[in-house]
Amino acid sequence: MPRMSGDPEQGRRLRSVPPDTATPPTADELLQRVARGDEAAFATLYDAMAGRVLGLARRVVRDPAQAEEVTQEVMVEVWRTAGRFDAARGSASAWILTMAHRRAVDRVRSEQAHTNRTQQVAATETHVPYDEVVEDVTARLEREQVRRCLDRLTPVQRESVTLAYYGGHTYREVAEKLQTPLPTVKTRMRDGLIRMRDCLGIEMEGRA
Amino acid sequence: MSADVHTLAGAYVLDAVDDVERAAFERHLAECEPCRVEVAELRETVARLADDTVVEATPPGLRERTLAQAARTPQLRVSAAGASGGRRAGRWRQLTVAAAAAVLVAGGASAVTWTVSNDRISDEQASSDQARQIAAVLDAPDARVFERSLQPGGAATVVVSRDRDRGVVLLRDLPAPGAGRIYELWLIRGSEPRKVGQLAEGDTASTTVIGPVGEAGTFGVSNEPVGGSVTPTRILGTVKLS
Repeated sequence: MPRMSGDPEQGRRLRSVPPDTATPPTADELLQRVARGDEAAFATLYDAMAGRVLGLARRVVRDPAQAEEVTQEVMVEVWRTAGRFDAARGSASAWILTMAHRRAVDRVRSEQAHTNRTQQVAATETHVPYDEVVEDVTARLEREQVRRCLDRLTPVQRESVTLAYYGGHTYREVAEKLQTPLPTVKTRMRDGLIRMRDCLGIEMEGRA
Repeated sequence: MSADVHTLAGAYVLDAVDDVERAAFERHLAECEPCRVEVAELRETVARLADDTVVEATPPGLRERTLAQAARTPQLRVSAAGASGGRRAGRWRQLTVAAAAAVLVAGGASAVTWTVSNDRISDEQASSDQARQIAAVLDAPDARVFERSLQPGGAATVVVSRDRDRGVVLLRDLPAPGAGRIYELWLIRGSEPRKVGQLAEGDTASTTVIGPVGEAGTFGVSNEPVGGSVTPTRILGTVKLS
């Protein structure tokens, strides 16, 4: 092994290599390569994002087969429209997850009656299939941070945000469910997300 | 920039709006640079909520199907000019100027009131200076928008950049201040008001650059006799800047 070699020059040089090779390309870099037609980059991007896209789709549409269809549609759309991605306007993962959420929400809204779904949401709201959850430490820390920040919201802010995001409800439906006036729900959604943003330390610094 | 449309930012990034509202909000976004920054940040925030839904084992068949379908799907062609960094930056600058113009129009109504410190400069000079100052605030990456209806009527929009230590205040539809009276603008830190501008006699709308913002936590409007007051007689409406 070259590392074991007695040559200190070489040893030093080799030690400096791992950080470069060990750092996987970011989703932003991958997406920019995908935009140039790089299929290998697309496969890597798929591996990096599919777990979250599928998880989100499952949470929103609640049907495993439909969630897979949404995931496939979204990822193919990512491939097709990668050239439109503009890193100055946000991260690749937010771009992809925005598309995924929209697609999942469109599907539930077009396919299911409102009342029907409201009951389903009520029944499954608090149940999360933890057994399927990634045990990767970074992912876990990120998830814990999200939960900690969600916990800092007021109950109405939190419910408004989660019913809309995970439940795929419109703010009108949320207002109905929470028996809260429409303007209040709108405001709570925005205030809640602003509080989340500050808690997560998200800033578009150096962008735009 | 209607306060009502702007509060939709949260519902919009959560996809909790209907198609009509989405279209209305996107029109609003097209002419509101600070709103675009807010929406971009809230999108990143909302995307993090998906961290909590991640699944470890995605079906291998799904991967194969997706990669195969992508391989036979032609990619959308985006013109080289559109994708190049230089052009892109240019477009953003242009949009910013358009956003500043939109703010001016919204604040201007019939006659635009410029309150550029106390300098006696021509209107024309004032307006281009003002436009530049407004653009500088709207352009700031940390710019944030605060909107509120005011107690006596009308509404205030305050865009604040703490980094640039400046703000832009849009007042509109205030009730007539009364004969021999004017509106004055204040930045309040704790309980200490500091005068940052005033409207011309009889004016009920304006676009004003204010600063330094310092650590002020609140913006306020008061009604004063012409000539102004050193301290506000009575603050009629406030906007919290956090």
